[in-house]
Amino acid sequence: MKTRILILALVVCVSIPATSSEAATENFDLTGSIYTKWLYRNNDSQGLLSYGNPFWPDDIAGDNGVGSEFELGIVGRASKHVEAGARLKSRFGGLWQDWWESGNIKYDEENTSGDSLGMNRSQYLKLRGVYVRVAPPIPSVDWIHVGASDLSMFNSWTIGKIRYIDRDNANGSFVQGHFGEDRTFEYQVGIIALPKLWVGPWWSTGVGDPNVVIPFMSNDYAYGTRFDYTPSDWGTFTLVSTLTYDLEIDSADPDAVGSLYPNCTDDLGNPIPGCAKDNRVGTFTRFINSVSTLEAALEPTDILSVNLLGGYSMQRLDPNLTANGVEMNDGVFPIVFADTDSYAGRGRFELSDPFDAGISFRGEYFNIGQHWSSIFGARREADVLWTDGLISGGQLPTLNLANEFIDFDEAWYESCIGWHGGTLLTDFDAGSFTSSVEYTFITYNTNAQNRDTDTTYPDFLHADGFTDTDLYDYANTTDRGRDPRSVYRENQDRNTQIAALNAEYVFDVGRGITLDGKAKYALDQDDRSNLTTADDYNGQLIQGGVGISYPFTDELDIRIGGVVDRWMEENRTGVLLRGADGEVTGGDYNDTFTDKEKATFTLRYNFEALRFGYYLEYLHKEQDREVLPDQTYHVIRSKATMGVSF
Amino acid sequence: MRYTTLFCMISCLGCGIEPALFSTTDNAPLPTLPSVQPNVLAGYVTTMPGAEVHLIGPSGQPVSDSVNADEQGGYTFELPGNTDFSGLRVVAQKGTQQYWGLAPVIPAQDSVLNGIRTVPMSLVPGMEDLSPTSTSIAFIVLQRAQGTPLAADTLLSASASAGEALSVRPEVIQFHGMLKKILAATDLEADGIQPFLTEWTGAPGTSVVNAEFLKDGVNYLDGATLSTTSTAFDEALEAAAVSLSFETCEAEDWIRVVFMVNLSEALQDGNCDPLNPYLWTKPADGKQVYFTGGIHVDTPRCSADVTTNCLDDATADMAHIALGAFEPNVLPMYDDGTHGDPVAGDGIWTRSFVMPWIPMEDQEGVSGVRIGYKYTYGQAGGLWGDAEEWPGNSRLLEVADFDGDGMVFRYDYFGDEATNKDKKNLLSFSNGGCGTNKWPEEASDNCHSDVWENGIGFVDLCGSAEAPPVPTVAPVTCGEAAQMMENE
Repeated sequence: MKTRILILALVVCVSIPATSSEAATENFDLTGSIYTKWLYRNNDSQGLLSYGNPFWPDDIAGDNGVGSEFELGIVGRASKHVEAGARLKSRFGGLWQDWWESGNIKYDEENTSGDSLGMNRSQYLKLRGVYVRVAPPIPSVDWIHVGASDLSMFNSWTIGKIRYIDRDNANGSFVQGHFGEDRTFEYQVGIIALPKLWVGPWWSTGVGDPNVVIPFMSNDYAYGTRFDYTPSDWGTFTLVSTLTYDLEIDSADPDAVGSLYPNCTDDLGNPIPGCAKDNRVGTFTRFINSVSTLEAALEPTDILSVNLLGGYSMQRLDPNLTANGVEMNDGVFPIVFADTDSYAGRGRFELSDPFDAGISFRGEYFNIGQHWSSIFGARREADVLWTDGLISGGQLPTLNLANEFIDFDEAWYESCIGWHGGTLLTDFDAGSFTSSVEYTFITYNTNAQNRDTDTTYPDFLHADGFTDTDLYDYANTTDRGRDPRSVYRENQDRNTQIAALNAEYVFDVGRGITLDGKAKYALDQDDRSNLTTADDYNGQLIQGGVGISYPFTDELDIRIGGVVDRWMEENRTGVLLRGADGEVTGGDYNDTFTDKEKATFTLRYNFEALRFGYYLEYLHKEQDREVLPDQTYHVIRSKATMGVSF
Repeated sequence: MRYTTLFCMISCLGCGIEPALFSTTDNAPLPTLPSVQPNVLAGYVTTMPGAEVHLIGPSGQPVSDSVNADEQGGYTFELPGNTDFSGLRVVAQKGTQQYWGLAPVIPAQDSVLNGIRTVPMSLVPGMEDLSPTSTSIAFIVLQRAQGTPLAADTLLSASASAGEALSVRPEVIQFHGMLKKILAATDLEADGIQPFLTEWTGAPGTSVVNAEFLKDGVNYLDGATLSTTSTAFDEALEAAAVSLSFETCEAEDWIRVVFMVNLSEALQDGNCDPLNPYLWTKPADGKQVYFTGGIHVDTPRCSADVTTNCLDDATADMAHIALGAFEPNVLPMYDDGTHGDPVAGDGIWTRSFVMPWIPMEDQEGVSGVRIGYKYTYGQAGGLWGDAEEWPGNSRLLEVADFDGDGMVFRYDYFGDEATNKDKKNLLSFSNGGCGTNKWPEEASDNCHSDVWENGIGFVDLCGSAEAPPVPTVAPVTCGEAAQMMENE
């Protein structure tokens, strides 16, 4: 009898936790991933990231290093209509060689103790992506989302989708809903906590601004709405309106900590009329940026689609709470230092194979005002124009671009503020052969003479020459050309033409050999000052590339390619000469010729949950400069990544 | 409708819209007022173009950097417009020649909206152009006032009287003659020893004459031999001063109390151990030193039975509030060369108060006004945290002017818990500490008392030569005393 009871008890004890465990896992999704990156270059730089923080010295960036990260994702379904999630992710930056770094910084310099490099190198786990999502029983409300979001519900002109490395660092409260049985009218509203870094003058919401004595960042928010109206299946109208709103405390308020008048007396001790403590602290608006776009996506016929977008942006700043970074920071500043209003318009049409011959046509007209301001717009990993541009990665309507925290093989982005022009594209698809031909003409709403780039318009210090994104450096110690954010010049009378051809042919050999090629020609001309021809810039960019790839197995794909660049730039850099009274007397500008050749090897191996990639390139550059010494580069660099998701 | 309302409530509450909504209830913003404009003291020393001109405070210390007179002998001093100045004198010297003059009382500007205010030396009779005459008047008036700064009206009448007496009153005529003979022994072009001591205040028993200057003898008595001492000159000055009849006012019952605190690193505490001033507060931009305190409960208070050597309730309350009533980060101290701070930016912060005074110095068994106080290093209006020298406890000061200079001058090191901190005092047993700072009547060899002024003649017991600069303040004037009485 005792034995039976013991067995029964044992069965009960074992079975109860088993049942509970099963119930628990039903409500959970656990995902994990491990990512490793190897980065090498034939130089003496140590780190895990080709381009790190351009402002704060970091301890991650460098060209030679290998490191890993781990992520654990948790999604819990608390009930039928309530979901919650979070991620635990290790900090990326620790080198495999770091071994026992503890996170401590006990010493002023790196040593072998394991206590000298701090948390960035100790691979600590950080909580990320915390959210709760509820579908409440409220008519017209689909869901309420509280917590982390990538902000992809708006658009690149207003509040852009957050870049990969910050993907869910943004937090806010969001509601999505609809009206009408067929969802004719949909809406989304969101309130987003502003990051203390990058959204605002001085790339901050007050911290570090010389005019803000006591930064007050905890009440800074952006507000966004999106309304979609779909009256029929031939078109959708989307209105997105956003407001970025940076508050600072009223430092004259006697209740404010650090108040100018804590005793309600002036410098002489005299009482200030109207000043009294009431234990509430007033606020001032440091910076406002409101951006709205109205977009119509129309498909009147099966072969024709039209997309029209109009936008308005408004910027207001309080110079008492925002120091003039154009003046104080050598023109490196993410906004025009003035109150601005501006517009943007973009019209697109697509004729999809109208002759039933595999030929499609696309056209785009764009006109972006010279004062367009979008401080919270997309910073990278998006593209608002079809053109290949001068930088092939993409064009975005903000000065707040983020060509940083990237590796050498990642795309670059340029600002298209002030661009006015059009693009025509012809796409050809004949099965094994596809091609796309582009022609773009750009003039610039930023063309002007004697523009105030000393106190109002940021020129980002380096405004001349094609940008070399292969060998970029933030401080421009290598003469890498124009900063991609530089859209304002003191004197500009510029137009640009771009022609590009992309083609690909798949040979029916084995698994299919793919031959791809690209040819690009850009003619960039800027008369600069209209008072002399000695400064006229004439830049020609010729680029050609070809590659061949082959999928050896279902898992393995290898590509070998090469790219050749020839840049001829007359009067690329120099100075405008002025007489004793400031009158323009000529220019002292110099020509530059740049040759680049790049050979690349790419390997991808995807096996079940494993993703492995390898990229190797040899880059040779000769920069022939008229006055300064010529420059030669022989760069060999590689990047390998391995990811496993489970 | 219900659902819509519910939705609006849910979507708005706690989600970040509140700051924008709350800001609609803000008060109308106050104007940002300008800083007060300076006062400029302007005068001439026409016989000494290019002379080095000094502006000396009532304590005998410079209150401003010296300037050089221009080609016409003009000179100006820019003084902070938020500070009252009285008892100033101007000393011009070139070669070994030296002229003195009395500067007018310079009140602080009355509005921050005022422009720069020029105060001419000519407001004081005889001081428009420094000369032997202005020097005699200055010496006589200073001697007569015995180092106490004079109120504006008194200064004007005294200077006018002294000026008139130069030609009519025998004692004054005699003194003026001696002075001219001493000045005649100086040389505009020669380097050498100055005849008079610029730090002279007129205090009783002191001489303005530089003994070094007379070392080789000067025939200021028109005698057969050269005089090598100032005795006769001093006696003549005393006689000239006594012959003048003007009323000097002593602000009885009130005294100037000056606090100076050194917020620097590399100092030593009362035990001569390294002092960390940032033990309880962190250095940061936008922070500064504040003073707060109040009348200590051990201060003698008046009652039906006690009517002398005590504070009445109204005076005690007023003084308590004036000291800050132990509200932190409200009363700023100054390290900008204003409000009595002698040296801008030296890490030594200054604040002075006019405090009630019980003259206990010569009375056995009488206690003075007793003050508890402490310093904070924080933001204006901030709380105690990350600001105070230490949690709880305070410093002690008994308002006692044993050196008779009309001021009580206390000098402290920020964060030093081994000097006059009242409780949990860290002065070691070997240094006489017992964990508590006692009032004098309770102290013993084994339980110290550190409650009195220490600024003048400050001695660093750890051997450092460091001494605080003398604050550029004057003893309380009668005008200030009258103002305090009104405030009561």
